[in-house]
Amino acid sequence: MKSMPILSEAKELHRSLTKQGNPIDFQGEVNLSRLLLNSFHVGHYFYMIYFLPDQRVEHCSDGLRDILLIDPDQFSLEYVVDNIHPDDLPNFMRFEKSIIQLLQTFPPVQLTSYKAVYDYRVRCADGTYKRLLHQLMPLQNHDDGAVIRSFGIFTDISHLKSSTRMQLNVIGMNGAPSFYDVKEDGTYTSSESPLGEREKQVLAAMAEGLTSMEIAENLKITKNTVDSHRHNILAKTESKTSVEALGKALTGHWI
Amino acid sequence: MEKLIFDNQNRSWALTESAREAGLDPLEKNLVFLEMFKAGDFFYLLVDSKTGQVNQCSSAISEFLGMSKVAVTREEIAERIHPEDREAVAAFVEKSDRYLFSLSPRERFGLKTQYNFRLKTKYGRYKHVLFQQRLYRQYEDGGEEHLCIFSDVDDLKSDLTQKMSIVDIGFNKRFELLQWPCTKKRALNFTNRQREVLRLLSKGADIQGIADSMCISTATVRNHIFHIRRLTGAKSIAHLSALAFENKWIETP
Repeated sequence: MKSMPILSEAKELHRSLTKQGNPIDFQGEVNLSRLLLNSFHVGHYFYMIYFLPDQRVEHCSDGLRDILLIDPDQFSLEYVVDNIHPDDLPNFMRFEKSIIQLLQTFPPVQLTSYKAVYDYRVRCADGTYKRLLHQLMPLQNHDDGAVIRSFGIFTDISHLKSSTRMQLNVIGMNGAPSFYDVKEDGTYTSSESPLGEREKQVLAAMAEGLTSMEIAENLKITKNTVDSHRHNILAKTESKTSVEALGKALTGHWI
Repeated sequence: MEKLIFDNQNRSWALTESAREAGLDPLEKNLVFLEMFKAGDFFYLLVDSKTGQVNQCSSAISEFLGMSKVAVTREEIAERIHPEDREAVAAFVEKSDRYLFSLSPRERFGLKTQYNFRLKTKYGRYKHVLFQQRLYRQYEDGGEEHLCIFSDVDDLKSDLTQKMSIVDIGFNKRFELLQWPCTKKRALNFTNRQREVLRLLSKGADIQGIADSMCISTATVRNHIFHIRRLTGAKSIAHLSALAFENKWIETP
């Protein structure tokens, strides 16, 4: 019961997203080609369909049994909030807010092209913690942008990630741009790079520790050209130092 | 969305009739779906296990490695593996081959091998990649085609340990049969002040800016950077900040 205030806050956030309106009839049928997914996916996973107007998990896949060691019908938003690692809860709540803020800036027709991605630790029935990669995407929304159903995919990444660093990324699917490291104040680093191909090569070489002279030799250009590329990189990324430009390029997956 | 079925006769994935008529490839066809589930960008290859020839390659390889999907060879990709990670990869290959070939093809259909290493990407940066391999098709003459998937896990992977697992994927049950962790590589112990310098550096602060925020002189900042660079072997400050990013030396503030 201790987490109730936080939970009601989460519900309020969801409610603000769904706004008013009747749920449109939706066939919650997701045809999963399991063999293919099991081959491609990086860890054990389960997925769920969440019905926002009722704050209800409509469907949860069986894969949950092997991960959280509970029955699928026991899974709910309450379960996550109750069992998330205490250190990860503040970020989890902050991300929920940031996602909603960011989604509201997108045109309603494009909502289903985006997924929010972050990870946190959740306690399993045996008391151990597993780190789950949480991917959440609107599945169905009203014309005004209010989300009715969302699709959540949870992947066990305990075997991959040991760091406790949490970061919210909003990933564009099928060619849509991505928003990396979305912060509370709404700032992010876009995947759309302002840099040209040559500038990316120069920046990547700087990340490897090469000097302007060495970069010039590698790319078969003069040192003056390298310096002009470096100058343009700072201007285009609006950075004061090359380290700052590099930080943006690495965060935004430009290089 | 069409459902893929497991065709026992051909020991391969088969499409339902309508998709087969439309001439769709089962892998390409489901990319939209994989887009939702994927943890990071990926590309895949279908490789003939005897000749090592690449029979099919997804177009994502050009974005990822800057290679052409029609001309790619297995050797070219192997050369992209980080030199420090090659020894473990060789051991993984040997160990998984020895285990898998003790099984019948039928049993192997239900398993995949996965391990991680760093791969040199398009612009010359190394990224952490999870490699997954499984038997995809078996020919009548006993030849085999393997599906090899390379997934970008750079955002997730924060240390240099390498692991191999063999995962049961045949049905719903999935469990790891083998774990082979490599010896943990040397961890760097920064002092709190050094960590603070690193954090400010990556936020784009210059020497003067760092000195101001930490209330120390620029000479002390330079001294910190000198020691951090000696500790990490970084060739320049830009190199240092890239290393800090790649190795996640700076945790959440």
